[in-house]
Amino acid sequence: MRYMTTQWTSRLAPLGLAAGLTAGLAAAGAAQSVSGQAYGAYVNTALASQPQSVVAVLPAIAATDGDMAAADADALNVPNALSSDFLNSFTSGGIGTAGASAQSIASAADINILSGLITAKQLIAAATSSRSATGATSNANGSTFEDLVVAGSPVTVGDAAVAPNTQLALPGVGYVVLNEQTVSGDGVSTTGITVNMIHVVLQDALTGAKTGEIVVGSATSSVGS
Amino acid sequence: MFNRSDVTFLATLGAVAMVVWSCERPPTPVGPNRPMFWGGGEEQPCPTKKFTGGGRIDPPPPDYASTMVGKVTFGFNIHADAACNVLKGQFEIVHHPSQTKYHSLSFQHFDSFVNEQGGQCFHLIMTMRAKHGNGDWHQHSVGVQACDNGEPGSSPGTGPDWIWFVTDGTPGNGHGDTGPTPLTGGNIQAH
Repeated sequence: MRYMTTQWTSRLAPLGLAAGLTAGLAAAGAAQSVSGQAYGAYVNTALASQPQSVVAVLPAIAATDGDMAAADADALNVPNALSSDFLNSFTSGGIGTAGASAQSIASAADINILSGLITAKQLIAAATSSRSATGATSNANGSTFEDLVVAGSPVTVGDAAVAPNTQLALPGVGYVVLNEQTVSGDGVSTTGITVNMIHVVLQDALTGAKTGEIVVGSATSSVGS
Repeated sequence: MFNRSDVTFLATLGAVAMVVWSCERPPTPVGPNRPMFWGGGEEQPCPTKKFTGGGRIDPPPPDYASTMVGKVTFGFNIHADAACNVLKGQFEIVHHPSQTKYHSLSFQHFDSFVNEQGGQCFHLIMTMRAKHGNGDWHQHSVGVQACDNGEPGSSPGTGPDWIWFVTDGTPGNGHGDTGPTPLTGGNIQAH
């Protein structure tokens, strides 16, 4: 049996490592927190409005505990703004004796924004933050688009990542930021990231002033003290 | 990356298929105790009792004949006691190519162990409700094996964390076996 063959040394090694990490955090006086959120879409334009939808928000977590939240919808239609199918959002996080982590995922399929101006077969937004005695890091690994087309031009063929904060003009409309990433924290005791896979900013044609926005696929995670 | 526990896992999944005969079968009874098929009754400790995680895999992994291929995302929170009884938990799985979503209903087995790389791992067997596209909800038995092999937990194709899903039912349409697959996004965290 597997447990009969497990060596005690292999069991004690991670226990010793965990004790060391715990001591490191304790020495730093680290009280920890985690947070996470994921949502499918948000619309705020002159012609349409939709609060953050298909939203999962990580509940408050006490020390040495964990939790998660999830939301899903078969479809989301906001007339004059967007339509999408198969939306799924979840976020989870935990605080342990040796560290903390939070991770959030938002996904959507069959996306159509502003009557075909932007389409995608699928997108996934992934945000991950973790903290240990060696530091705190966040990333958006796994965030991709499938068959993304912007203003008639293919951006991805099949499933592929787009460089963070790629901005494309939408003549007469405004612009779109793809894989928009906003990071926070000091990288030592705090870290966080928000990933908006599609962020359309509507602008006044004459003044360039912002008149509205549409977000599809947003994931946020953070850990801190 | 894989060790002798894989044999146990696969044997368990065979048992899962015996326990849950089809999607239409009534749900597996809810209960914190290990099912009889798992280990012959000897005491099996849970050195790590709490895991959280979420992320993405893209099966098939190298050298594994997966029957559940394409993007899979997941999120979970599992807390057990030292006797491996699940005290609280939630698990979500989405198979994107088939637009299949799974929500956990009850947990039939949990155990944890340290792998040969020093990573902290768990096995989990649960009953989940599943839905394909706009179809009706129905139930499946799902087995999971996952390992926290370091931080950060994911990078394209290399993990180091990895996870493995197996569902009962005829392979295809969001059912089947992903194989043990490194995370391309997210993290698995042992606490």
